[in-house]
Amino acid sequence: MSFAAPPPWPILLIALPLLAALPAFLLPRLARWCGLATMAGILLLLGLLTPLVEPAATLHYPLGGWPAELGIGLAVDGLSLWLLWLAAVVNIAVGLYSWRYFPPAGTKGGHPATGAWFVPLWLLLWAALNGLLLSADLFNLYVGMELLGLAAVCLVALAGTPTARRAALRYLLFNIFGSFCFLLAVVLIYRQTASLNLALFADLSAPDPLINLALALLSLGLIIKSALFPLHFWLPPAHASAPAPVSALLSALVVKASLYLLLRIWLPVWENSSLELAGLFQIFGWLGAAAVFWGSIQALRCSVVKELIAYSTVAQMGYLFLAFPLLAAPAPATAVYGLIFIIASHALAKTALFLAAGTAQRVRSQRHPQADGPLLIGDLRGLSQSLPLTAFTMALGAVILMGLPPSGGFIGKWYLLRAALGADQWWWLIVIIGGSFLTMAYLLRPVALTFALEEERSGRGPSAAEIAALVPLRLWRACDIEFPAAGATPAGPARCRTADRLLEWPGFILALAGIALGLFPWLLLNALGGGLPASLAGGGL
Amino acid sequence: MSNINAWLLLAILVSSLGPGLIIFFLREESVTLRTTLNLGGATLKLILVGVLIHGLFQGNQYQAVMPFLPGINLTLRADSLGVFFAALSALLWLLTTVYAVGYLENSPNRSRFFGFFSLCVSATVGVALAGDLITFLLFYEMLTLATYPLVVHRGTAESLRAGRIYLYYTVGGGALLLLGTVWLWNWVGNLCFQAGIIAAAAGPGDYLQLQVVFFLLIAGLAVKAALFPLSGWLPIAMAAPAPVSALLHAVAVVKAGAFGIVRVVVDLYGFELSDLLGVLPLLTMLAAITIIYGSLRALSENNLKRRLAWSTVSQVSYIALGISMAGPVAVAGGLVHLVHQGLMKITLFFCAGNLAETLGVHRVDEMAGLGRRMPWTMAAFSVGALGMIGLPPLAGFFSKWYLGWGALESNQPWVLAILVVSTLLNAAYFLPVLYQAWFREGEQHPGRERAAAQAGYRRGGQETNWMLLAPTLITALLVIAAGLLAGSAWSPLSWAALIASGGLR
Repeated sequence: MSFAAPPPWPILLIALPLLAALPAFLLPRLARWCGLATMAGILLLLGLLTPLVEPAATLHYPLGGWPAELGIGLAVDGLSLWLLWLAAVVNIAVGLYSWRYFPPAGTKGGHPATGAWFVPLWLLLWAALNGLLLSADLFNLYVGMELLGLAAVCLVALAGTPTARRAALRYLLFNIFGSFCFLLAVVLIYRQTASLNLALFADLSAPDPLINLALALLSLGLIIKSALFPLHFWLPPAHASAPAPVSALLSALVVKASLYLLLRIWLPVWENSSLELAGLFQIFGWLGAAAVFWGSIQALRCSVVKELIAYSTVAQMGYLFLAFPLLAAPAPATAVYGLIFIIASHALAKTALFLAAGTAQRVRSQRHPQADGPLLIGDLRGLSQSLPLTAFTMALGAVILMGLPPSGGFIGKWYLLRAALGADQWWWLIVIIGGSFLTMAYLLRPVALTFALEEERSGRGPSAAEIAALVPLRLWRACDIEFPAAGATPAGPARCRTADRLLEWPGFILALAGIALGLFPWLLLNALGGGLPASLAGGGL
Repeated sequence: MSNINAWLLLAILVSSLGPGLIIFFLREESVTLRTTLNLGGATLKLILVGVLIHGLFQGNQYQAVMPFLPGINLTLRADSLGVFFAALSALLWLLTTVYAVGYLENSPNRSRFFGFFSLCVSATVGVALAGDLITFLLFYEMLTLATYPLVVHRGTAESLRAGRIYLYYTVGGGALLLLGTVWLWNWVGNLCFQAGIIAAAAGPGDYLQLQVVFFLLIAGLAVKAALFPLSGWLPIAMAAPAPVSALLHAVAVVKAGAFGIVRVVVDLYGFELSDLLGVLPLLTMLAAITIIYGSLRALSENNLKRRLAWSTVSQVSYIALGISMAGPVAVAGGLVHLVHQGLMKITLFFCAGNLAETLGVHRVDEMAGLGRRMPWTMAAFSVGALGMIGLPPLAGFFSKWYLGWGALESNQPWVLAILVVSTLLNAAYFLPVLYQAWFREGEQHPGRERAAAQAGYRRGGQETNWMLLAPTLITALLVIAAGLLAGSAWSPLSWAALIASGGLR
C-alpha cells in the first residue's frame, strides 16, 4: 500500500475552463465547442469528486510541495461542493442559452464581436469561480477574486450601449476598491501571522489590533463585492444593463462568491476565538434587513423588467446576511442550512428570471425591430399566451424567490425561521416574513401581467398609421398577428411560438430545479456531501 | 403489503397531478386528448379513492413516508377524516371537470386552465391525506399557487385585481401558518396528526406559548376558511369563471381552510388540550359572528355570484362552529357540513354559471320568470337553496339538526339562537330569489333570447349544454340523497359520526 496522491480533480476544475478559454478566444469559430467540452468536462470532474467528499471532513490538496502555511492549497468540503455544483448548473444553462441569445456573427442586427467575446470571458469567469470555491489560502483567493471581477466587468461592457459602459466602469471602480481592501488585509495578516492559509482563522484566539483591522478590511472588501446595503449602488445598473445571460451569471453566482468567502473567514473565527462577535453579526443582520426593505421598495418602483430583477438581487442578498446573527442559534448548522438553500434557490430562480426577461426582449426585437430600448413591465402583457413557457418560467422563479412551497426558497426560509426562534431573536421573524411579502409585492406585477389579456381592443382595427405610432411607445404585441377585423371574436389567440427552444428551456429547467430543491432537499443534501462546512457538519441538528 | 398501501396514496395524488402536467404541454387544439386526460384522471382518482375506502374498512393501514429534511419526514396517511375530505374532492372534481369542459368550450387558454385545475385538485387531495402539519402546510400553499392562475384566468383588469387581493390574503395566511408550524416544530419536534403529542410535550408553564401558536395556526387557516374578519377576498374572487368558483367554494380553497381548522383542533391539539387552553369558546364566537355577518352581507348583494359567495362565508363557518363545541354530536354536525355544504354550494354555483352562460343573467333582479325559462336549472337551484336554508329532508337540515343538538349537549344554548337567526337570514336571501324565478312573470329579453337560440338553447327544448346541465342535476340529486338516506351506513352523516367518535384512525 502506498499513499497515492489524491486525484487531481479539483485542480482540473480550475484548469479546464481556464485552458478552454484560450482556444475560444483565438478561434471564435470553435468557441462553441470549447464551451461544450468545458461543460461536459466539469460535470465529469464534479461527478468524480463528489463521492470523495464526506460530511464533517475537508479534503486537502496541497500543491507544488510548498509548506502548508504558505503553499498553494485547495480544499473541498460539503459547502464548497454544494456551491461548485450550483455554479456548474447555472453556468451550463447560461452557456447553452447564450448560443441563441447572441446573434451569430454576420446576421443583421447582430454584433459580431459580442458572441465571440462572450465565450472566453464566460469561461474565465467560471474558472475564477471554481478557484474561489476551492482555494484554501488568502493569496489564491485574492487572485481568484481579481479574475472574477475583471471577467465580470468585461462581460457587462459586452452590451455595448453607453449605459452599459458607464455601469461597467462604476462596477470596475467599486470592485477594485473592494479588492484593494482585501489585499491590504492579506498583507496585514501575513505580517502578523506569517501564514496565508485559511486555517489560520481558526487559531486567532486573541487577535491583536492589526489583525482586527485586517478582519475589518476583509469584511469591507467582501461586503462591497456582495453589494450589501448601503454599498449596493454599483449593482443595479450593472446587472440591469448587461446582456441577459451576463446579468444571470452576475446575480446568481458572482455576488454569492464574496458572501461565501465572508462565511469562510468569519465562521472559524466565530467558533474558536474569544472575540465578541454577536454585536458585529447583529450589524450584518441589520444591514441585511435594510437591504431587504430598500431593495424591495426600489424594485416596486421600477418599470424596466431587468432593473426590477436587479433590485430584487439587492434585497435577496440582504436575506443572506440574516444568516450571520442567526449563527447564534443553539445549532448554528440551522442558519447555514438556511443560507445554502437560499443561495441555491436564489441563484436558480434569478437566472431563470433574467433568462426569461432576455427571451421576451429578444422575441420582441425580432418581431418589432423598431422597438428598441429596455423591456418594460407593460411589455409582458399577455406573455402567457405568446410565450407560455417563458411566462411559466417567470412565475416559477417568482414562487421560488417568495419562498413559497414547494421550492428551495421555502426550505431556506424554514431554516432561517427555525434559527431565529432557536436563537430567541424574534425580530428576525418579522424581517423574514415581511421580506417575502415584499418580494411578492414587486414580483406579482410582472407575473400578473403575463396572465393579462393583450391590450383591450376597440371596436375597429387600428390603422397602419396608428400601429406605427404605437410602436415607439413600445406597445409590443406578443404576436405579429394582424389586428382582427371589427367585431371579430377573439376565438383563441393566434399561436406563434417562434422562440427558439434554447431560449426558453434552459431557464425553465433551472426554475424546475429550484422547485425540485424544495421537493427533495434531503436527497440533494445527502448526495452532495451534506452541504455544510466541515466544522459544522459534525454536530447534529 | 405496506408498500402497496403507500403506492395507493401516491397513485391518488398522481392521478390528477400527472394529467395536469401533461396538459400544460398540449396544444390548444387537441381538445379530445385533453378531455380524455382530464376525465380519465378524474375517474381514476374516484376509483382509487373507492379502493382506499374499501381497504380502510377492511382494517388496512395506509401510509407513505418520504424523507424530506434532516429530522423531518413528509407523510401521507389515510384516516377516516382525511378520506372523508378526499372522497368529497374526488367526486366533485369529476363533476366539475365535466362542467368546466362544457363551460370553456371554444374559449382561449384551455390547456393552461385545465393544467392548473388538475394541480389544484392534486393539492386539495394532498391537504386531505397529509399525515402531519408540515405536509399539510406544503399542500396548503401549493393550493394557493395553483388557484391563482384560475382566479385570473379571464385576464381582465377586474380578475387581475381579484387575483392580487386573493394572493395577498392567502399568502399572508400562509405566512402565519408557517410561523405557527415552525414554532411548534422547534418545540415539539413531531407534528403528526395524533392528538396527545403536543399535550405530552407541554407543561402548564407553556400554555401561553401554546395559545399563541394556536392563534397563529387558526388565523392562518381562517383566511382560506373565510372567517370574519378575513373573508374579504372571497366575494372579490368571484371574478373567476363559474367552475372555478364552484371548485373554490365547495371543495378546494375554502374547504381546505375549514378542514385545516378541524385538523388542528381535533388531531393536533386535541379537545382535551384545547379545553385546558380555553381557546375553543373564542373559536365558537368567531364562527358565530361570521355566520351572522356573512348572511347579512349576502342580503345586500344583488349580484348572484357574490350573494352566493357571502353565503359561503356564512355556511362554511358552521364547520368551525361544530368543531369548536367539542361534543361528539356537534363535531359530527360540523364535519358533515363539510360535505353537505360542498354539495349544495356546488349545485348553486353550477346553476349560476348556467344562467350566466346561457342567458347572460348575472343579477338577482334579472331572474324573474327563469323558472319557466330554464326549469331544470332552477329546480336544481331550488334544491340547493332550500337545502342551505335547512328544509327537511334535504342535506342541510341534518347539519343544522346535529349542530343544534350538539349545542344543547355542550351546554351552549345561545348557539341554538345563532342557528335560528342564521336560518331566518338564509331564508331571507334565498327565498326572494326563488320567488323571482318561479312566481314572477319574466320580461321580454329579445336580445338574450336570440343569443341563446343561436346556440340552440330555447324554451321547452334543451335549455343549455348537457355538459353544464348534467353535473348540476347530479349534485342536486346528491343533496336530496344525502338527506333522504342520512340514516344509512354509507351516508356522509354516518361517516361524520364515525369520525367524531374517533373510529378508523
